[in-house]
Amino acid sequence: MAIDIVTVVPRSLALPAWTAQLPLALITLVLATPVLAAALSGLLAGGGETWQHILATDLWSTTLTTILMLALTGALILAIAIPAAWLVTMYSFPGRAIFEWLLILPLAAPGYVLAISYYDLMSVSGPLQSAIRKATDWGARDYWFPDITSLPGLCFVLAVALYPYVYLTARAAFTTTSICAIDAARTLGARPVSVLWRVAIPSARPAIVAGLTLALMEAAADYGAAGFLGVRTLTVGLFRAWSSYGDAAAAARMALILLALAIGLQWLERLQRGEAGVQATSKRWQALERPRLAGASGWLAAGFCGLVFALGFGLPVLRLGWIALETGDHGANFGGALVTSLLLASAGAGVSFLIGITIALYARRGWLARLAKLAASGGYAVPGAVLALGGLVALSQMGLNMAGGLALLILIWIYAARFTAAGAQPMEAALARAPRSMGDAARALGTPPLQRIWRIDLPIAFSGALVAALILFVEILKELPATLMLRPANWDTLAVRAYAYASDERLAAAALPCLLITAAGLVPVILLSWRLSRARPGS
Amino acid sequence: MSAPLARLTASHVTKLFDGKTVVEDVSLTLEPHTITALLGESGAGKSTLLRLLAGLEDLDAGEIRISGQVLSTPHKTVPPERRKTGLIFQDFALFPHMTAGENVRFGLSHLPKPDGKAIAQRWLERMGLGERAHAYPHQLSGGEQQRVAIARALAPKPEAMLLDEPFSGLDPALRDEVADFTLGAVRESGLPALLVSHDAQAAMARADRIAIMRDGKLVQVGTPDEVYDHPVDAGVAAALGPVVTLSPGEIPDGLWPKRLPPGEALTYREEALVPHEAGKISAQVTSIRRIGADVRVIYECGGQHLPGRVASQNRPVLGDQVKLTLDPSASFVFKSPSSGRAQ
Repeated sequence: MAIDIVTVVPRSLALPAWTAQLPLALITLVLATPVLAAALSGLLAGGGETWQHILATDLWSTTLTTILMLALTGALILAIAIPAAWLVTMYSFPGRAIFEWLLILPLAAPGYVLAISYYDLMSVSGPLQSAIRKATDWGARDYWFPDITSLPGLCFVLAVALYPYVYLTARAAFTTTSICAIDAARTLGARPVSVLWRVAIPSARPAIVAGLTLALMEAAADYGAAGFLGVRTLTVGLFRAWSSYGDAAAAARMALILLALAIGLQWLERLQRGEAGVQATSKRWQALERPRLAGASGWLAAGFCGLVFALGFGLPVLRLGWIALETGDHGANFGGALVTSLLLASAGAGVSFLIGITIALYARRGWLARLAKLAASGGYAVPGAVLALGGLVALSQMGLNMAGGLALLILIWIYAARFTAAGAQPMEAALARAPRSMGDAARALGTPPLQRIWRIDLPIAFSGALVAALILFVEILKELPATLMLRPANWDTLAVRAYAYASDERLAAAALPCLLITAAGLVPVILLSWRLSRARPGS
Repeated sequence: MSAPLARLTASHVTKLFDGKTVVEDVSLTLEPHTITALLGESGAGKSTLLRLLAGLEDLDAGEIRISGQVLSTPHKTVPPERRKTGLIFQDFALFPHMTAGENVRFGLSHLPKPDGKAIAQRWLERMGLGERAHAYPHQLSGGEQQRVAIARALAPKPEAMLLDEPFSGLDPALRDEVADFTLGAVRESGLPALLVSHDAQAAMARADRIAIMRDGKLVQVGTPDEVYDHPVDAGVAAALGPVVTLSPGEIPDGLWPKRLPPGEALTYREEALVPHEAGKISAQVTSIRRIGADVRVIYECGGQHLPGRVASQNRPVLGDQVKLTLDPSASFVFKSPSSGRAQ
């Protein structure tokens, strides 16, 4: 076949290079504005009266409370997650295969849902204390019972809610990075416990700390659990300064401290990683020959894993289900809140998805792409309350007032700024499955570039994109503080409604929305654990 | 019945990336019934030249034609989907969401579906994969994947074949078998073919012509015998097998018939230095190491360590004094690359 020279496409038909960069520049601006606005207003704001008030009474104690909360929560998380991950990876015991993924489930329930459930479980009239009184004939004042509405109570709730971050990273590190090192240690005569202390934990340390950093950033950003349990952390203080005192400047100062904390945690994480890095010592992966824990020790291991699962998921979720069934109090206009949640989550996920896929398609192409990615991951690291504040500050700087339609736009904007990174990452991973050679092959076989996206890239990336969209949808469905700060009147989501009912001590009405949020949260968690169980390096 | 076979020609082709010249003034013709192996170190520009021939890159100077039709000039590039070149990649680049049969059919989408299916099936059968049409790439072994890739590239009847390090991703045990099979299929088609490789031994064993690139330039083209026996410089000699280069001061008396002027150097292939009773220099055997069927021997001569190579059955005894000769047909005198700087 002769090739007709007339059909040759002149290169000049392509758009000039800078136009391709426009969407990226826009995305960077959209994602970075809330953080920058919050930080700048915190730095530049004059000291209002409220600020003086907070400084005199509250700032040091909220900061101290936050740091204490992070330290205690972190210690609890390590104490729960590392033994659980080690047992499940290294030994065989009754129920091991089930616990392997059951232990991830607490990721599905946001902290405020667990806080609400534990508040009921532990209250004077709750099932635990009632059972004690029934069994002993004591009165309500005759015994000591731990108070969940306290700093240790909050730390307990956050730890059982957030430990899966460390459980997942530690488990991955134990299974993949150190098999050869563990084999070597064994042949050198180390006993299992000493293998854990001397080899496995040190070599998994970068992964463990990375997981812990994520968990602690979530803990610092938490508004719902701390606010509900009455612990004045910085996020709670920020929220109150904004909503009770109406002082944006004071809130911005607190936001600044929170930002510093988030940056500090990231910095510590990098620092400890040091030269070691998260590097596999060997690419060899093998099905572990798990020693069997016989008799009592096997049941002890199963008991430990069972307890962790029960505390993080089973017990609180069962209790919520019980309350919801027992009373039938579903509050007013439950359907409206459901529709609002679905609408907002769909819109927010849609916008974040488009931004995320643009970033993923541009990945590793120039500094602007890196900047957009940085803006996305920056937003993901910043508490929702800080971003919401930044959005409000930016809006007032533009001389605009929050009103119905605009407020919705701002809320979706903040969702995108906060969550885009959560979607961009899986999409990038999915697109990476179609390397350049595959596109070249398609073109050499006669497929023009645009058709190539349709016939190769999208089918290959489809499942990854679906997962990304799902993660975004559920994250936004669970979001509380930004929604609480920005939603227009009559736009209560399930999360807002649950929190409001619980704050009014109408726990029964809060139970059903809590359960629905948790059920939605289960979908991506199950998908995640399914993907983890299929993805085995080196197999 | 079939159309006459094409000839793919690159003339004075130059390609820059960010102002850096990656391919410089390369002229190369791929003839029908000829497999040309393109050798060179990584970064020499081999893959870029292949991508220019495929139309995956635009060129900055020169011209690429197939049988007289212009494919690439600095102003116009016939896009890869409209030139008929078959490509085979190191990572096979099979589409993971399609079966083997669908992969082979991919380039036949202009045909009615039953025809495409029949042709794809025939190609899979020729590759010994008739039973595997419904398997997905991850269900196939490395060798099977490579065979699907060949079938996919050949099925649309390309006019030339371009193979980018197609065997380096394979298990060493499998590599020879797959290479024989693949190049056998290419040879049977009679298409002009370019095989980018970094394995000089395998390339010399299977290709009809060898082209060697260095720093973006084509330094020598010829049959395997021509380039091996008459390399144009020490770099080309070294690219095809182990060599030793001695400056005039390092050459022991009697090893080479005449004195070299400064600025030249003696390069010999290791197998050129052998023990022989008629040898003019004597040396001591200080080390013997087995390399396949040969042994590599280090001789010490006046403080100078000279590597040589002999068949294992002819190996000298460690520690013995031996006489050495240097085979002139595998020894070359070149301008020393460092002569300009030596002063």
